[in-house]
Amino acid sequence: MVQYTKKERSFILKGMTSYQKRVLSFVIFFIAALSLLYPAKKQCIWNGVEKIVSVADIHGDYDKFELILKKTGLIDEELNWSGGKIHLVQTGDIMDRGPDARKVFDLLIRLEEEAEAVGGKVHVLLGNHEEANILGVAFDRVGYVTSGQLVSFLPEKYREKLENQVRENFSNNSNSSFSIDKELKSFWADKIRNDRKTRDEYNKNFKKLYGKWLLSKNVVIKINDIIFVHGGINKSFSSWSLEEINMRTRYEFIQLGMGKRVNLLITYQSNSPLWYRGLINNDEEEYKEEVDKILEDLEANYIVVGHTVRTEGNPAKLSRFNGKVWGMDTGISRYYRGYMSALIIDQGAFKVWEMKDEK
Amino acid sequence: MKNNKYYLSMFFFCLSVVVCFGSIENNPGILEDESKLELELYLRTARIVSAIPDEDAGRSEPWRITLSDGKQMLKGWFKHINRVRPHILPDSYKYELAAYELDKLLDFNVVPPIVEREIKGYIGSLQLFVEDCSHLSELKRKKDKILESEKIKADLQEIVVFEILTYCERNIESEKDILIHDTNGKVCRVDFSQAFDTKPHFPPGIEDVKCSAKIQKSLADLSQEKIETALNPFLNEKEISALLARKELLVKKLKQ
Ligand SMILES: Nc1ncnc2c1ncn2[C@@H]1O[C@H](COP(=O)(O)OP(=O)(O)O)[C@@H](O)[C@H]1O
Ligand SMILES: [Mg+2]
Repeated sequence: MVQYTKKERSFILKGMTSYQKRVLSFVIFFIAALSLLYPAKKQCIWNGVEKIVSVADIHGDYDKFELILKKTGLIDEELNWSGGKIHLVQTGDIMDRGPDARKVFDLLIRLEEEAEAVGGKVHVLLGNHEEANILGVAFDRVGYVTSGQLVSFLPEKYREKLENQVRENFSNNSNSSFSIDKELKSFWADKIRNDRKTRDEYNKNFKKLYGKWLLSKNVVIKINDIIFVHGGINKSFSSWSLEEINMRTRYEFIQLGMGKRVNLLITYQSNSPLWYRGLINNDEEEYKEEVDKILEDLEANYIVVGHTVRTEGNPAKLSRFNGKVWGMDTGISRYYRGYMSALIIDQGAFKVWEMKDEK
Repeated sequence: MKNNKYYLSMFFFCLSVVVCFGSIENNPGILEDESKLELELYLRTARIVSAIPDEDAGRSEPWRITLSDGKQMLKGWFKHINRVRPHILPDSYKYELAAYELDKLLDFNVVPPIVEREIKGYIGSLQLFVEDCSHLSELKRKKDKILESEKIKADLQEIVVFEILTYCERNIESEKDILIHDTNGKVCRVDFSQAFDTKPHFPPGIEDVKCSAKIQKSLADLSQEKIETALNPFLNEKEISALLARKELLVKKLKQ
């Protein structure tokens, strides 16, 4: 862009008629308004990365996530980043089904900085569960928001007020067979299902605390020759650039967040990068050419996804289509009762880390 | 002695299992028989044997239901999400019920029987799950011979009329919602939970509209009053007036 000095600037304005000035200020205002509505570009392609560790769906299971990071050498006993220049990719679905998504968020927010400081990187991608929470529709589905997650994102004061009422009732009514913890849990479970006010409080506070951070996240990224995305990329999206997918998603979320109707190209679409399951569920023989075409469009050699729980339980089988597609959702969280895993890519070599029993 | 008793009770147990299951027919040719009222009654009253959310299905979290009335065991498809317009992300089982009412008004016969019902404390729509069928997306991919049949071609053409009225776009994704029965070739259309947009024009991607004289007649006979009476419980004013506008456009287009 051309840089003008202060003098030059005032000269340009002086030479203008008041009509021109008005038009100019209108144009500037218009551009400023547009730039507010349209999200800024964010980097989504990295090259020359030596080592990558990718972890799939966590679903509120902080303990397992912490253990995975420790065992793969990304954090030390004090939970500080020890991964050096490694890139950690979390492929979405940190939220729902379990209690501790907020703890996972907070850890990742700290690690983002610590990794960056030593030349490493933490990439948090969006999953369909983040989509549901960002858009405030997570409560519509049974079992998405748990009592643990609910209270963790409620405004402190609101939570305290209601919990004090429950405690009071509980001590006045000592013949209840529940413990107070159980009483609270069932109180919140009931609110999740039936209470509009509590849902609104949650949605508002969630947006206030983590909305901006989440909206800065990508849906899809490429590191070296590997695509990382929550659900997958199908042939309608492979012709888009990664930047277009990320920007469009952000744009739709921002518009919807302001209560505006928008043509939904990505949000809530079953074939979108956040929801698509074809890379894992489609027949390999039948779809191998399509997968090759998708990779060719994306100028990549591999795709790593989560989202669709793999039941095989055999690490060799986590890859499909001749090792080009990796489906890493091994049902890590307590809810899914699968096992802990991570995909480690070291100088181009893929290796699965897994741990079947706790500890 | 004890052992004898054990074998005897095992014998009676097995016998009762055989008798029970022998009398339960598994999903007869539902689509051939047009006794909708009977099926509606069945869906309303049959016992819920199991209700399992379908993890792999999409965003509306449908539940797979198994039903039994003691004589027949059938499968159902249950949706309970209820976000109606003006919500910015509309998705509601009410639109499923509206589509069925519209289908009945026109005597179209493409929407499988569906009723409102409460399951596990959730109110939603329970639809008969049509077995032994393939969806259009898959059939097209496989270039299946069944698609060469003139009858099926005409039926698929005619479904466009219903898609215009309900404002359902036709694309590779939505072609998964068009079901063709493997043996009798009956065509069905499912998944209307996001239908009935308030746009007063045709959905994108529609080129040609053709339908039978019978459907043309039912369209012509379809008065505003009839539509309002049938759909008022499910649609708001804007959704109904957009539907009426699309109907008018359709009638005009078919006359050409
Ligand atoms: N009543 C039904 N009978 C048979 N198959 C069905 C029925 N309803 C849905 N399906 C199949 O299941 C798929 C997913 O269900 P759908 O209602 O479209 O939910 P969603 O689009 O939210 O996943 C449909 O595309 C269709 O192939
Ligand atoms: Mg569908």
